[in-house]
Amino acid sequence: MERTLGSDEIAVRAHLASGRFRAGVAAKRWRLIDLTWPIAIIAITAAARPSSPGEWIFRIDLTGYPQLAPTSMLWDATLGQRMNDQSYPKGERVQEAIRPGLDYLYTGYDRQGLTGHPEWATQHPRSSWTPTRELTFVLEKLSDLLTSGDYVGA
Amino acid sequence: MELFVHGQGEEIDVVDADGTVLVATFIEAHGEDGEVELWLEDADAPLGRELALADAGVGHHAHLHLSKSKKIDTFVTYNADTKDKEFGPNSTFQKVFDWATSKPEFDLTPEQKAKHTLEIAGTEIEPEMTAHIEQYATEQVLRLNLVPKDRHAG
Repeated sequence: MERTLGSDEIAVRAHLASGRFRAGVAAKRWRLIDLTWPIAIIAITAAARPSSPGEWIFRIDLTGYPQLAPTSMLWDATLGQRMNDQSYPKGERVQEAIRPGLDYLYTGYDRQGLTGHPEWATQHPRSSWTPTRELTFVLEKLSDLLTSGDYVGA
Repeated sequence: MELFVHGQGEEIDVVDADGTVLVATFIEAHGEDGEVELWLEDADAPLGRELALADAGVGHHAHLHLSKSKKIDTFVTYNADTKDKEFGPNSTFQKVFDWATSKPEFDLTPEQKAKHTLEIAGTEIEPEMTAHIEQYATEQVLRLNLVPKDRHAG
């Protein structure tokens, strides 16, 4: 029987088909590996660093999108589990956001981050999730971190 | 070939076009009227109408900009000092950021550059660096602040 899509899944699929998402794919900034609702597995291309992967994979839970922010964790696609803490990307700002030991991003564009720190929405409105944002907002932020001069690799 | 077409709005249209199509024909098909010019992203001048897209340097996954504007007067304020320059409507925020943070303007170090971003003045909007500046211009004027990136320390 055909499955009825919820409004959150319809919104996600529309945004995955958008020019902004597809432009990121074309520029090899990110790529969708899988979408098995409500989980998207997306790889973010990183700047070249010695002994480091060319991309980092994130498991992104999109339940309630876009009313609720996505919540993302670094993902070991081989083992099908959160990346072990020692393998997280390094860098001062990188590790502030993609924090070892957490199964979410320590940012205002992560559902669990915002739940734990609701004050971020007013303290950091530029980088906090609102329902008018799209998934590419999160991907842009992750891409910016992982291609910045702050990122030193694995 | 697949092309990404920007304009005054937020959306990026994905357009399939043959490289043999004339720029004038492309404008006729996708521009709002004949006064519109077609630009390659970050190029210094619009494309010649008599040229075929491929001969004008438009390749697969190129980013184009359709606009009636010839220039955007762009002002960037940092530490109470303001610099200004005319940019094409097809310019990315990355191009403006690179100009503003380099000599002879605000001359930030690579470390400082990694910690700063642009904000639309009078708003809490941090534009994507890949977006085209006309999207946020009002009557061909754009006012920006160069500000520290948000941090979620703690």
